[in-house]
Amino acid sequence: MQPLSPWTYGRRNVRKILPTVIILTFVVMLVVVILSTLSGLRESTLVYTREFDEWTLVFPKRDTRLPKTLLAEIAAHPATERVIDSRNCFVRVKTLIGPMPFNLRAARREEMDYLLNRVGARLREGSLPKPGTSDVALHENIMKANGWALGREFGIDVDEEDWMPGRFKVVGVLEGPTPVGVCSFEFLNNPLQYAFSAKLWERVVVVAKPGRIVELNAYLRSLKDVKVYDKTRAVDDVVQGFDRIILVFRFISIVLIGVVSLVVGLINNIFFAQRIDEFAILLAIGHTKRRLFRMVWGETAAMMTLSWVLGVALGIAIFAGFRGLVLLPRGIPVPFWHLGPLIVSLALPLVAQVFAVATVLGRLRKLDPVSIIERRG
Amino acid sequence: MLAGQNLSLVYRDAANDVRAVDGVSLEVKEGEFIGILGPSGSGKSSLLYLLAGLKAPSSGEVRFAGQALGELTQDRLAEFRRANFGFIFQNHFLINHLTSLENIYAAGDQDSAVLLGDLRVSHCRDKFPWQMSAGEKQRVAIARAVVHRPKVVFADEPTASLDRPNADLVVDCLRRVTQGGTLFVVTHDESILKGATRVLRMKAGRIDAGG
Repeated sequence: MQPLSPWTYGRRNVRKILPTVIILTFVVMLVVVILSTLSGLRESTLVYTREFDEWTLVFPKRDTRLPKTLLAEIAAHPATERVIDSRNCFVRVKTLIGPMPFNLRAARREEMDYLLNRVGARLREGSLPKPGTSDVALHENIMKANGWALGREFGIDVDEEDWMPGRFKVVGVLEGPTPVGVCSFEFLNNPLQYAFSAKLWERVVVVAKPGRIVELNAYLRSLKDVKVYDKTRAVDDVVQGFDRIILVFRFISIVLIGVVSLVVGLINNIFFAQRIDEFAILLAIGHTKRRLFRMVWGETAAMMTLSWVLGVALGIAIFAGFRGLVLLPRGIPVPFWHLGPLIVSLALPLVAQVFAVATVLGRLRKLDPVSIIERRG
Repeated sequence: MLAGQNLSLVYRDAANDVRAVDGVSLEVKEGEFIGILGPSGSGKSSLLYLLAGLKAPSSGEVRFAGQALGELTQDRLAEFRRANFGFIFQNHFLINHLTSLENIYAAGDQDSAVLLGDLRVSHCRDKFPWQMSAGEKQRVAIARAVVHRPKVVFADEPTASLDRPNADLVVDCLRRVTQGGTLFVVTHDESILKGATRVLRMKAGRIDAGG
């Protein structure tokens, strides 16, 4: 029999502990849902930088074309596996934070197969673009995000709000761990077929030998008169915006943790005042203040743990629902587990525990059981 | 066994000092039943708190079995009291969210159920304080005070809030469960002190000469 255990107190005083448990559960849930969603979106967007684990793009800085000697030099570098001449082509993708460009790799058919093979992409449906056509093949995530099906056309000729000049048609859907899209180099490079070809800057896809991408990037960055778009740049572009938002929400979480800890501390103080007779009598019958402090600590810790577990469970459930019903069907491959939000949410019960117990400890130290007993007696 | 030497307890307020206990000395032997009588405000309860170590005297010293209570730290004193003393208050002061048995168990775990039988409140073992009568609550409070077999039991007006039959029952139970030990009873009601080895009469914080 443990009459002074947190369990006995908790189950006999449900109405008293409920306000604290509800407040804490709700705030933990809020922190978990918001930070999991943001972290998930950040990671899901980083998926789009995976192709740069295999290759890096190189652009001319001052002209629309790169010098042939430079291309030969790049091709001869020991970390280079292949140099593929390409052009700029992209589709507009609907994301949760608005439309974003998604770059396609313009390539000749044999190069197309090679590139897809390097990133483990396969054709799931339809066909790959035929040479000299405005066909494109897109990764399934892009199709889902835009709500497109095979045969869909896009470009300014189809929709004047589009960003890509001309008219293109989706003829294939790709699948695989790395979202990519491909289109015909011959089409984009032929001014008779594609009126905007002269305006398209040359972009070269420099494919690294397996495991040598870092070495290759270091070399490319050392070159003059070229712009290099590698993994670092791609990740920077993606995370900058998200990291700012996450920073703002972390700040909000910290403020929330502070305010909630204060509220929990005050509620705990009120509960302590309500239970002052109980503590006085326990002191009078020979319990030490240290033992009572341990009791308060245990009760508060049990309440905080319960709130945190409930909050995390609810938060994960809501996040799972949002992920399954909203994000995944829109082609946003948000991972399910996020440790960061759980760690941040853990600060809430910990700070609240310290604050709540500290306020009660101050009162407990000054508690004179006789004065309470005389007053109530 | 238990001795108070020149005990004083002074409450200070803005206007003047109030001497609740004023230079009281007494020595009590093991097994004695001491009654303390006196009008309200005479310092009976304050003397009891001093002897039980619940309050520190403004001056003087309490010793039990050779140990000066004033020399103990707060926590050591609490443990010392728990090991040697039991206290019964005028109001039962049971913890509301605990059953009778749990209230007793919170003070000590020896023979709690048996004790409830001795005090004729076995039927209350799983009842909460708010489900019991005043007399039953006071008898459970007695059980809580004696469950750890203290050497000295202090009872501060244990029958003040009870009617006559209940008061007699409580006193009867109290005498029975403290048999052989030292018992202090503070009361207005002299009739409950039958069998007391000594009756001290207090007036203005002092023990009356005749007491």
